Amino acid sequence: MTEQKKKPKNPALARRQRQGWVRVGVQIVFFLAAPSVYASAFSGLKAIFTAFGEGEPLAWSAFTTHLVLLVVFTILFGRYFCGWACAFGAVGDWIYRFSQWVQRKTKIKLPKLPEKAVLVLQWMKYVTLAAVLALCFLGYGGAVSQNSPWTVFSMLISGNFRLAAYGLAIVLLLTILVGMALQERYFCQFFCPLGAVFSLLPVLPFFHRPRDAAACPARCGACQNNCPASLQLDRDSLRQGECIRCGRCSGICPRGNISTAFGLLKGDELWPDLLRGGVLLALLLLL
Amino acid sequence: MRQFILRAVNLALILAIGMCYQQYALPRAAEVEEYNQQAAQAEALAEEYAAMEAAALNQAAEDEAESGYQDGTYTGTGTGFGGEIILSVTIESGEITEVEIVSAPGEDSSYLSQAETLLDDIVTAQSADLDTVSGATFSSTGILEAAQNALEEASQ
Repeated sequence: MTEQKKKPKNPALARRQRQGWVRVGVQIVFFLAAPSVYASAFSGLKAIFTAFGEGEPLAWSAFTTHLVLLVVFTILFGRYFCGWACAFGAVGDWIYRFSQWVQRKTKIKLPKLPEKAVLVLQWMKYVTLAAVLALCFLGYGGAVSQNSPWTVFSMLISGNFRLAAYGLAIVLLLTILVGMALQERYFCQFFCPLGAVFSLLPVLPFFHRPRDAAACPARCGACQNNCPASLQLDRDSLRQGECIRCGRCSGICPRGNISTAFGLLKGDELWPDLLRGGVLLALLLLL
Repeated sequence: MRQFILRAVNLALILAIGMCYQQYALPRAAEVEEYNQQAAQAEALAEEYAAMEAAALNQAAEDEAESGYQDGTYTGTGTGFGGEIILSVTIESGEITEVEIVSAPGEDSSYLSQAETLLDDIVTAQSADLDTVSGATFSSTGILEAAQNALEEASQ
């Protein structure tokens, strides 16, 4: 009965939902084809700091290839990898989607973090990054892997269930999974050390999504309220690096004020994202 | 725009630091390598002398197949990241001449390619008693375990 009432949709909402499902589709493709890229790219960074600590020269490896590829891709296109291709981020999105669906069905609303807390927690990922790299520098890289939730996650998705030695890592992973159900992009925003690296990169402005704030209705804020990173689009702040190129802001804006590619694209087209996804997937599989 | 310039300068600085580091670390690593080689040579010489002395004392010590490996190709299995790794080890005139991966379906390619350096290391060291490659511990452990099993078969 209630479902019948919801059915008549406006075309804008339908477009937005299609955009969301296309992103899920791309994430599934990357999850199946390249599930461990985030971990191997970060291993490349850990290896560099381990070498620094040991006084060994830096050596090129398959990990370094992934790291450099993702860094260059992010400088060119923004954090497309985070939003569309990272397996860990994708699982977080799916858990959040599922949790939202359950909350809608059961009409039980879970509490949301206040914006102030979100802004403070977003700094935590730099702490994670600094701590992990310092541990690698001091020669404790092995201990980091032993206690990393990513290790357990990779083991699980490759069907390896010999987890007895990973107590702390399992607890951390479970905590993160709970967080993912409560807050969109919980891990990515607050704790991901690779996200911390990407959010500090100089991203070329071509795919930025500036807002024509003068044309906005008063007290709208739809873009910020729907942003997985609670971004205020018109601020040139350090937090601009939080954008994961999900494109939801362009889709949600009632006046179409959020364009990209310097106004050449409206911002909610599907082909630019699919094209970038194809290029990234090809590069990951070929290199 | 200011953000972009600041970030670009930082990134350039980090790359420059990395390159300076490399300039210093590469010659240093070469020196260490040379020193280790000399030390290994000296050790080998000392061993040779000791062996000659021992041989002079009693001629019975005649172990022609020193390694104890029988010639042939052996396969061994080890547990890697996502399942079994199967290696083949080739022994010719008592020495390990080739180690190859037969199958490793559960391994991620970038991790496996890191650990694959061990295949040559096993031939060089004539042993599977080696350290794992950091960052690719699981795949390394699987390879070493598989090689160990193959060598055990070879020594029966």
